Amino acid sequence: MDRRKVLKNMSLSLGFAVSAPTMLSILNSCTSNVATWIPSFFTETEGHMITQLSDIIIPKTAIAGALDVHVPAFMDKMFNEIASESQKETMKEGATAFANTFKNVFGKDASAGSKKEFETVLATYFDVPTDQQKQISEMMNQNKSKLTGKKLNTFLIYKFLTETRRYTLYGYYTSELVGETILSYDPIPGHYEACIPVEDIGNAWSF
Amino acid sequence: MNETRILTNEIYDAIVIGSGISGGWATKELCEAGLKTLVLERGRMIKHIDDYPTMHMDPWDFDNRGEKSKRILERKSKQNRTGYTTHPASQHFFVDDIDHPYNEIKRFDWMRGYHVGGRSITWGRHCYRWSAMDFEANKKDGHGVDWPIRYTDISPWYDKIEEYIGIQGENMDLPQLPNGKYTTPFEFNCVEEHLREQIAEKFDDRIIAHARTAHITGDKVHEGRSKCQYRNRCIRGCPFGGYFSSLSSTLPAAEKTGNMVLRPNSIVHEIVYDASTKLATGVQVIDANTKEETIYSAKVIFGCASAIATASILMQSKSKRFPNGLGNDSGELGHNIMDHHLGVGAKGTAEGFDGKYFKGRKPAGIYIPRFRNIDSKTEHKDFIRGYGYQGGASRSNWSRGVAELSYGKELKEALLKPGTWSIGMGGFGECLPYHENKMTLDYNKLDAWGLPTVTFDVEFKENEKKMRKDMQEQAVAMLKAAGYKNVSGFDNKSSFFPGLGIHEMGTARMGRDPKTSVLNKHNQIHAVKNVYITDGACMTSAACQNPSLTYMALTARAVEHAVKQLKENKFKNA
Repeated sequence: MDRRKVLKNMSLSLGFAVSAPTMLSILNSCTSNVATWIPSFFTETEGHMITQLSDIIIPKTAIAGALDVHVPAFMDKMFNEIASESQKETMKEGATAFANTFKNVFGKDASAGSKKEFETVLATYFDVPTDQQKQISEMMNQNKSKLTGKKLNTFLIYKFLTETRRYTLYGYYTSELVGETILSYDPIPGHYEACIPVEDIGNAWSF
Repeated sequence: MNETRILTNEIYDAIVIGSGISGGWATKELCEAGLKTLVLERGRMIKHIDDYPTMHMDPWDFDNRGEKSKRILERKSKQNRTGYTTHPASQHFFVDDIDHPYNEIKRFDWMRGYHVGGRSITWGRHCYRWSAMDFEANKKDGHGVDWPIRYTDISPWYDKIEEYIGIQGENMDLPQLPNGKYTTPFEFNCVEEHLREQIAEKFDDRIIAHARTAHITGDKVHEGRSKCQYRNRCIRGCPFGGYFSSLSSTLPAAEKTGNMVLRPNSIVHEIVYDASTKLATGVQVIDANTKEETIYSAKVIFGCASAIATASILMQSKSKRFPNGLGNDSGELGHNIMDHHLGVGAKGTAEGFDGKYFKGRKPAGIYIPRFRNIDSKTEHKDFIRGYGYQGGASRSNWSRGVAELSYGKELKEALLKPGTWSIGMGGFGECLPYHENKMTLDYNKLDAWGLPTVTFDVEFKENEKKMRKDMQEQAVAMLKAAGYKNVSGFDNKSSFFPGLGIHEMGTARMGRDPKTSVLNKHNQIHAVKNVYITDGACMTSAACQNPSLTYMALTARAVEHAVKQLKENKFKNA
């Protein structure tokens, strides 16, 4: 049985409760700030990629970040159970395109990439002027099957990055921790106040 | 299957077919009049509060944050046409399309809830009276047949229903939207109030009113229920009984009398007719679980199974006297299907209110009463009848950030704050009664109980299309006139299919003439006087208001008539 299968089986029997030391002894490529989870839809390398990226997109500050609410595990489960076949396919192709680019840039496997290196790549794709952002969004609305070569590669990388970003926001802002303790939480308001100063509430209502 | 028929010895005073919003009211009124009443519900038992499994669930409590599972989408592909009914918060209140198939010559979105309480659990709760002009519309423009009743016939019954179920709203003294018995309305938030002021200033033919919905506000006591708690989770079932449903209100009231026998899992498929008395004697039922057949007998029968199901039962009730279905002398049974057309309107964003917010999630917003074809001044050259809008304003959440490419600490913190104010409205348009909009039964495609399946051949036509254009244009015009930004109209083509309003009506219409209608002015089948049909089937026209309030009023009115007939011993069927 290969290592991935061992990990998958562990995941099935133990859920996400595998302790950090156990995980780290197996997944020696993981860095210490990575939450304990075992990818199932994603490969280990892809798991590392989305972990690093989600941590950059919603970092931990004085306020909890994406990894504190297990965004990578959430993404993995959503892609396994909810995503359409074409969404899955594009995500996988995008991850591969991203990993290849990463290797070309840094001369090493993405699975060994540092947070700094991921930040560098993400900045290349996301830190773009507003007018260029419009072009990017138009480019991403194209039909994948009509693209080839470099265009296809760019398309796929943006798909991978924007999907990762989307699921990071989704997983973070709808999580229990954020919903109950960071956003304003009021499951049974009991009464209605129609128009009050926003300072009286603070952060947005969680729902 | 006839071999296993059981004829019960007990004769009930009344049988009510269906336990939804109409059936609940029929049951309460019959039981309170002292009649021993059997309620037959085709779906499973559901108990108020106990059987609302999602009532307290937060977004993170749902598997995959409430995304619809692939299994649900496979099993409930037609129910999913609404987009919202199949959410895990409420999907258990909508049927499995594979177990409950139907056929479409033209697309018809048939949303059903098979369980005790029916769709009264998941209804939209908006309650607008029909006006005098709605009851006169068919006569005036010649579409369909004339209603056999007028506003004054139903108005005291509206009073009764409104006071009992509790409706928040405000009287606006409009001829097209009569006053009613309302409790303190939900307040407008600051942007809704702004829209109200702007429309008052810039238009002289229309107003922004409070939505009128069946939620308890104010201090009047409604037994077993309490005030709306501003959770806006009504569709899941309300543990507070904050909104009206059969489960929170009418069925408990009926049960209290000791006169109600409620039998779930009981599929009524035929009303039994006795040619010698010219009356119905009972109903034939298949047990949904055991498939055992039983005939239950009663002196009077109320058909409240919902428009399509009731018509299907009548069509299956064939006899020598009624070869084309019970009471179908006119040939109108199953015809004239109506719904409201929706999914059209406009939205925009409001600037200048960033410092304002609200507390609580009110389950209703604004209502814009009909302003077309009210009088000669408001006549529209392209279409007849009219439409109203429902809508509201709110602030966007974190999802506003999805379309960007930003990341990091600033993004995280910005999206924790309330977002842009947005405001929107969607129209509800009247659909005319067209004879050719019909349902039929397919005896070659039987369901799991050996019963014929329903085939729909229904479409919206030119008048609806032309009205729709105006619905979008006027919504855009109002939001623009009010000064909102990013105003855009929408006309969701996938919403322009009958059924999606979940206001099916007209399959056994009321009328003055037995040659052109199925029911008389008391909701009795013209030729079978002890059968009353009081659900959406009875509607002679559709107006543009949400119809449940009118079903309830007609039901209570019909029960009073039936009780009187029984007292006078008019239904000697046994």
